[in-house]
Amino acid sequence: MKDLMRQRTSIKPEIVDILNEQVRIEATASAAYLAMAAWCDQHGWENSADHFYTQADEERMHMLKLFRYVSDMGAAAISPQVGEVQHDFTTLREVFETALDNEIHVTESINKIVAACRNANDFATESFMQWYVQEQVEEEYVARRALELFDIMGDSGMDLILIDERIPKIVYQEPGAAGEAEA
Amino acid sequence: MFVYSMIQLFSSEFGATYQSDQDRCFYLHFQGRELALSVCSLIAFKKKVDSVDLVKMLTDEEDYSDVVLLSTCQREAYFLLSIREIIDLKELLGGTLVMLELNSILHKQINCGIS
Repeated sequence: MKDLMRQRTSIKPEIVDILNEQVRIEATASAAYLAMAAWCDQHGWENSADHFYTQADEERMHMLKLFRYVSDMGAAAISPQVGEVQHDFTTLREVFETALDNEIHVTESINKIVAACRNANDFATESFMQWYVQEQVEEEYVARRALELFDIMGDSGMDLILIDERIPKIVYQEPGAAGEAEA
Repeated sequence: MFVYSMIQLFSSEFGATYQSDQDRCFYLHFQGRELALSVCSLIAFKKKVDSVDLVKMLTDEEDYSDVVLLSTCQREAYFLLSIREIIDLKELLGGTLVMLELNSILHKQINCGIS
């Protein structure tokens, strides 16, 4: 009896399921960032709004990359249904706190996929997911540094203006990258 | 049309699944019908069947019909299923996937050598 399953698709159904779930999580993250961008725009925090628009684009790109991978492997990629996302926030700090919580959730989900790939001996998908592991290091760093600005500078009117100005300057630099550039 | 070169993968009280190497697809026999399914269609149909919430069906006070209408991936066929048939179909498709997984393991062992 031929192995039709393996001939048609190179990833196992259980891996397809968790990858499709990750597609949904990335789509939800993109929608959540859009809601944050809208809130920041409404309250006059232009740099923060731009930051979240960029984040929304990035999450969508993450989603599409996963979607294409599932499809390229011969499995059925599922266009995600995005549920309700949080639109109302009390303060700018709360927006950034929510952003960090979302990134932590995404990281945990990606770690679970990598663990499942190892369990299923799916080395190709594990290798593919390593890009996401690295990406999450950057995403969490940016979200954490943004939140730290509130601890350093405070929550009053002038502090918030300065924080908003500093948001675009938060850039993650991989350890050793600066040295390599100089060399 | 029943193709006799088909290999039975799994059977349940109400149906059975077969693989045809010649046609490179699977056949689902259910409710007196024979339906050809590709790998993708089989997995997608299983996902649909698995997503039927039996508890909700049993407890829904607005719908006493206790039946659900399901289509296959390409909408080639529609099934009107009772609760008993859904339970049976879940078992049938679940068992089929396990058998296909087992076949993949056997192929891998044969190709890579049994250790």
